[in-house]
Amino acid sequence: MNRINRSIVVSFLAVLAIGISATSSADETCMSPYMAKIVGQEDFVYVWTLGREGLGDEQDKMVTVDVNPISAQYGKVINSVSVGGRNEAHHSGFTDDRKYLWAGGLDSSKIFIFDVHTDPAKPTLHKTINNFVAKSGGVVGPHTFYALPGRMMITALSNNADHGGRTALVEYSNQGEYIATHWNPTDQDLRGAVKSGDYADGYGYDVRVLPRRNAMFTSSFTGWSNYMMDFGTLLQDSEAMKRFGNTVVKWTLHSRKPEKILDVPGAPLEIRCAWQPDHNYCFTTTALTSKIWLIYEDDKGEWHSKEVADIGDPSKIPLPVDISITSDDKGLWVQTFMDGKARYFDISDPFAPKQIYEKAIGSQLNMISQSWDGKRAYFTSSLLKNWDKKGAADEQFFKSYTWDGKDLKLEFEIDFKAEKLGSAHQMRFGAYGLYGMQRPDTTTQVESPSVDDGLASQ
Amino acid sequence: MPIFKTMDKLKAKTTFKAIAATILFAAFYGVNFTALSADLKTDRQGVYLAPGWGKLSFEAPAAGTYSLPVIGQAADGEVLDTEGESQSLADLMDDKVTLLSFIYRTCDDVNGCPLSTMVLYTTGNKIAEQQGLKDKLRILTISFDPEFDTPEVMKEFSESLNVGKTIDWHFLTSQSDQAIKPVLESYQQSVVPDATNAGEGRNKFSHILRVYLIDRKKQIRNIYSMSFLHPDILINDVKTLLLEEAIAEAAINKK
Repeated sequence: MNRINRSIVVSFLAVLAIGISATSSADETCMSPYMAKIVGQEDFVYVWTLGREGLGDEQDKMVTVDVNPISAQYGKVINSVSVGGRNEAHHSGFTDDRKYLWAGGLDSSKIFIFDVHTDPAKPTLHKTINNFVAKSGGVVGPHTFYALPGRMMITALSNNADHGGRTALVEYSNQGEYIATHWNPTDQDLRGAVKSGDYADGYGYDVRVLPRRNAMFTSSFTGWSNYMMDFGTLLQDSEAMKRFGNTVVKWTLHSRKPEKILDVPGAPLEIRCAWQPDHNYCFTTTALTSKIWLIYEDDKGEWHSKEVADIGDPSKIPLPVDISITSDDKGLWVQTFMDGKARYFDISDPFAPKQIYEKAIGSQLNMISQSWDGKRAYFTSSLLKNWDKKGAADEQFFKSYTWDGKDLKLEFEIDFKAEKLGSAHQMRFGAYGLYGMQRPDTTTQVESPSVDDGLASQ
Repeated sequence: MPIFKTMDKLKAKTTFKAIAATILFAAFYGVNFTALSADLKTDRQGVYLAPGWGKLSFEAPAAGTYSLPVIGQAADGEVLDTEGESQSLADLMDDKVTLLSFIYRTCDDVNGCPLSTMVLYTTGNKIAEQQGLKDKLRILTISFDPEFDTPEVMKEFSESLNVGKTIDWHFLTSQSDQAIKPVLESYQQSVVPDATNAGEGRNKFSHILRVYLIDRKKQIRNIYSMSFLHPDILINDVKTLLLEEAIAEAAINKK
């Protein structure tokens, strides 16, 4: 393997080698360590978008935004692939070779696999998995698509028995063939795991891995009956409000066995693990209690969970949603949905995060994606169809900012309602350089990517 | 003298052997890898070394305590052996558990092809030392650079590793880029020619490091990348498949 293009696309290994003493930050760090990373200028952002009744073709779609300033199409929507209906479009993730982008529907449990390598500017729908629930043995609501070598590890949110929060990890081959289901541990069936606190709820949400510790972590949200409910109705339903996850589970990565259940009360959502070789910890935030939690390994190899900071004023329920760690493990972006703010925490001391910046991005805010160098940050607005705000407060946008370490500066924005696209949700980056391709509008040879994997977390 | 003969004479402790093997492999491949730091985590240039070059930082799960679900069928394909004879991959996978890797001979990334060859060498030797296991494992190493990696080059490579009598290891190539392409596609082995390094007299490629564990039914049971490509893990995975077979056979015999 050759690590020859550190300015365009390189692996995390190369970045680690270069940047171990430098400062850099990245949303690319939020992805699997098993794939090539874009560390220079990304060409595209793929936005997995919810279709809306009465807007455009009303279908869920993968929208491509040109974000390279040298492009004549900079700041424009250049492609859109509709998938034939509405599925509660939510999250997406690349395969380890980054040739395909898998995107899921939380309501229909369909999985849409897009070819992003044949023409990175114009993804096409390559395959649709329609039988995820049946194949997996009743798992509902595919959420996170996380690349492992030759496979996709898929978290889910629910099940088809009671549509509650008990759920599983489901493994597929890169070809889209079902491999295995790994149910989350519960009080009724701990599956060999140790219950370290009060909870063993079996709920699911996100997944991340630390291969160097043979560790995999899952977080926990809520089931179909809650995430498809109107948000205002849900908040008034005291019984429904009890049905949220309170756990992070530490699994053995190689054998896929749950090992220890950690209490993290209040619906821990995204998990972001540190990248530096000796940083054996991950962060998560709790949606209902507005806290940052640290999941860390002690000197004896035991894993623990610890509440380490408030996010805004928890009594006002700002509802933290997406988070993004920097590649030097010194910063954490935390988005809060209700007040539409992006908040930046100094996490140099992981046990004592300190908020050092905040900016209102919109009336509501969910996802963030940063460039590898941390100089660009993209934001989108939608959380869930029935949880997004109503009326004028239901802004649906894609916004591009630059970040100089002190302030976010708006570069351009796209109104997804005005463009008749839908509600903008998760973003992933694309680049010609990933596939050894040359930009069609330049004579500059784009060098091949380095595609080492895994060492990111050795 | 082949470097592995030299290495085999090292009768020191495992750690020392690992360091020696690492240095010798690096020298053998001519990698830009002048020396190692004491802890085997980086070279002097600060490049982090994959776990396979040193001691695993966790205990590999014990053989038979976990399952390895079928990922898919291992594809067939036509390749050339070191005598230039055409061979079927499916035939080469007969009878034994197989570890399959894709390399190119002039690969100089310390965490790429040299790593996989080193880990397979160690795995094969350790398996061969264990009673009853020696004849259970086959290793296939396939070049995706047939222009330079001719059967003669692969034969020379094989002989330099000096594993003929110890490990059932086949070094393979193909007639042309077109001939190896369907095999690479079947295994989803991503290989991107590196045009920027052309003109140095040899090909360069960017590729994902993958090693495949294949059972005797020619089913892929694990895929290793850099992070889990370690002899301790490979050996226990091979044993897990063999235990699975033994249990299945016992169940049939009981009936």
